[in-house]
Amino acid sequence: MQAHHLIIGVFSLLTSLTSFAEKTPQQWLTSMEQAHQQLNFKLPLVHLERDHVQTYAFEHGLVDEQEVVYIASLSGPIRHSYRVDDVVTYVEPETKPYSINGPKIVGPSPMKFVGKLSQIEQNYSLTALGKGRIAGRITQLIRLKSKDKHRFNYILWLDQQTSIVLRYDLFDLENNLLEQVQAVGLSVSEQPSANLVKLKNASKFDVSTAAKNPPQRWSLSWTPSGYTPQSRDNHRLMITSKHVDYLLLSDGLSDVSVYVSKAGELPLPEKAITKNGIAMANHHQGNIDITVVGRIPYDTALRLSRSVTAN
Amino acid sequence: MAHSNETLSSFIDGEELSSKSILDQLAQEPELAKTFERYHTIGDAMRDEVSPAFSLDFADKVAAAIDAEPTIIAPAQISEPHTNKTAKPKTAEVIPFFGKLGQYGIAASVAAAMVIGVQQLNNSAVDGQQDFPVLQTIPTGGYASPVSFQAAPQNELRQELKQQRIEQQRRMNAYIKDHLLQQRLKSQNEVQQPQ
Repeated sequence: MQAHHLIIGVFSLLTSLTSFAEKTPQQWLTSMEQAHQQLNFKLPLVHLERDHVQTYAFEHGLVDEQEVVYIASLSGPIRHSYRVDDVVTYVEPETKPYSINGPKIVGPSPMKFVGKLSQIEQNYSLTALGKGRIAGRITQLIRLKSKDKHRFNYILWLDQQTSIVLRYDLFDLENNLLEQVQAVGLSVSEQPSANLVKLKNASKFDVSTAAKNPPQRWSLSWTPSGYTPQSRDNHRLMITSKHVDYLLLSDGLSDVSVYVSKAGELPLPEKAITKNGIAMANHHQGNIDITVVGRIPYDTALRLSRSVTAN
Repeated sequence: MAHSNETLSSFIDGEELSSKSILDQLAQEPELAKTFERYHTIGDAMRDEVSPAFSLDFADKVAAAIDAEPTIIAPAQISEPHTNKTAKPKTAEVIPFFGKLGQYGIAASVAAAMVIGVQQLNNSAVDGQQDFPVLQTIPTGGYASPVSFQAAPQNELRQELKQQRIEQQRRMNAYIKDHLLQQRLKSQNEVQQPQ
């Protein structure tokens, strides 16, 4: 009889645990992804980096079942970009507008983590850190801590109610804040905004790049775990017109560029780091210069630069 | 000079000398800097690191290969299910991406990198003298700023040294800007990338 009660007791305890249990970090990220793909919402946001602040308007919506995303700077020269499904258009004062086939707008965006869940789970350990308050709303903090030293760490603030990213911070390995994107409001609506509806049919300025299969003169004897080659070509750098062999690596959240070129007259410093955390490693090998650039730990960039080997 | 060369040699051989002072010297004595390069090449050769594949005309070959390719790219076949009545002919919109002008034009918008000062190669050295460039970039979405040399030029800096730094900064800027640009260009769907 008593055993019977005990079993019932344990059983009800278990069910109550599951029904009231907090979502796991993975579940949070999954609902974040769904929210960012399905909801119509607007976020005014502030983007902070060292010595730099910019405000943006961000909108997401579904227009005729097509995803439309809009990001516009709110101060200074008019500068905005929009994505309709898989076509991203950048409109900026310095140049003619141009469109690129791509799944995301590159830049500060709460959409940064969407579509990257498997890579995030592979490269980071996820922890739910507790609650916070952003844009006047209750949020759940999720920490993305890199499993190794080859990428920087994030903390995400997800809206308790909708799971929309209301803030993310990027920290270097010494826990210095490199970047912060923070919403100052959130409005979710049934229908996409008029702006998004208009953008859905806005002009696209098509460009595409030719298929390039450059001779593979070199390869990397080592790549940091989680990073995979995305693209490879030869091109010229602007400003200097230097010819480079180019390889882009990405782990989903961080991109790294590897350049191989004929050695310059004056060697570049081995190490340079921008204030917002972009590391540059220069390595001189024989008659070539290798330059690695990316918002990744400098040591990783350095090791990459030394991993270039001739085929 | 002979002494400098000896020091230089030890430095290249990886001895723990005061690398800071060597670097200072390197920066101040162009001749020594040349020797440094020569020594390095010799050192690399001795360590068998000069790969035959990396010949001096490496970049020239790349240049030739690139020049042989058409620079104007055909317009992409982007399907627009809801056709735009007022759409202009597509060709009018095509930007020759890897044509020089196109890349420069686009580059300008991404080109938000700005050199603001100089940083020491050897971080531990604290003597107020600045050695190497530090870069600051503004995110692609931010405002563009011209490349500038904001750090107050130190009086004792010789003109040529200053020129060298500016040249280094220019080259480093070029890499950072290109990285920011490539992040956009290469974010294309992998499925759309020809094998």
